[in-house]
Amino acid sequence: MTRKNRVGLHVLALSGLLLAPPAGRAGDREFHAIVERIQAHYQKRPMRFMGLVSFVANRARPEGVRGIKLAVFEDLDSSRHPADPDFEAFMQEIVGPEFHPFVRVLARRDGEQTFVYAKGSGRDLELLIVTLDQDEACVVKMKVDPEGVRQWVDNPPEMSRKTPVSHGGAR
Amino acid sequence: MKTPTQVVRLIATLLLACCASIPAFGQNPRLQIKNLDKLSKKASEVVDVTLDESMLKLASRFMADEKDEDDAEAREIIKDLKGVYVKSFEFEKEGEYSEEDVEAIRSQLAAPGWTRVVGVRSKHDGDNAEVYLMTDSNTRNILGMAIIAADSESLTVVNLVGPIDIAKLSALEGKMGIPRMGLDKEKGKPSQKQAASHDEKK
Repeated sequence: MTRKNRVGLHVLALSGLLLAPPAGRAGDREFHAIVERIQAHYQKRPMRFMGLVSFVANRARPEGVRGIKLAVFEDLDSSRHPADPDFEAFMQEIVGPEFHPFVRVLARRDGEQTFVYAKGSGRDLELLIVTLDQDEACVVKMKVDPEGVRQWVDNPPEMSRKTPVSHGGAR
Repeated sequence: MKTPTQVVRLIATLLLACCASIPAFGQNPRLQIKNLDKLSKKASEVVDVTLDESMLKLASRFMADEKDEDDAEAREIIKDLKGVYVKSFEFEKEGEYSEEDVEAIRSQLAAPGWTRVVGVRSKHDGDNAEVYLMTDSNTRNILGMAIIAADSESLTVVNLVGPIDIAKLSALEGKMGIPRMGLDKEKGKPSQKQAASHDEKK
């Protein structure tokens, strides 16, 4: 191997290390993909400072909840952008086999759709919750501890009806 | 050194042992409830709850420390289950779903192995509740359960897959999206009130 090639390999390895996403971010792939899909469909960006809101939510969170990641979309114009018919199929594809479809609530009355996917994560349950209604959308990823899991298993529809933002304690 | 005949006998014995430990051919306690999805367009609210084996294992692990008697019983039931599937519809007005829609589920419950153990139909308030059990034709073990709960403006189908202690079934009422049916805590039978409404039909 020539010196030039060795230098090239080192540069490649170093750039690989620098460009590789941090572990935490890699685990949020589904979250970001869903946020991007909503953003593209409604041509709307999520509320600003969601990083800060997530940070605050993680400190002011209800007991048993942690690792909250949050994206809220407001003022969605559903008259111009009717519901994405392929959204559920997209989500199923994006979350992959690791996440299991857990709860789905479709409430025609207020046009609200809630999808909850779950996967075991050590002693916790990792939940990915997506709520869409006529003018708002919310994507939440969080971990719940055993007490939280008990509440979710006890009454999944009721837990999913609580707004995801309130799960995060951001309101 | 085993002769070829001994090897064949050994394989045959192993195959027989395997066959004896699995449910009889065609006995699948998992219901196809997807065909109810067409009701989603008419329903004012649709709730789907899916707890597969891995989720149930996780849940039972988390519920291991439960002091509450009902929760402890619920944990005992779900730790052996392979799946809990609940589909529930609420309608704005009567007549949004038909008897044929329910029949699509009942026809699956007419398959060998399924037996109706509770059937409550009230002419007075239109509340219907049916509980079916699938038992292994060889071992008589319970393989699964189905519940159809319906009134004029709602329909709920519950499918539990896996072994269930029927005596403890009441502990699952009101949990995991399973409707409250007033099952007798001791025997998993309808309560006095339901028994009365059953008589009412007669």
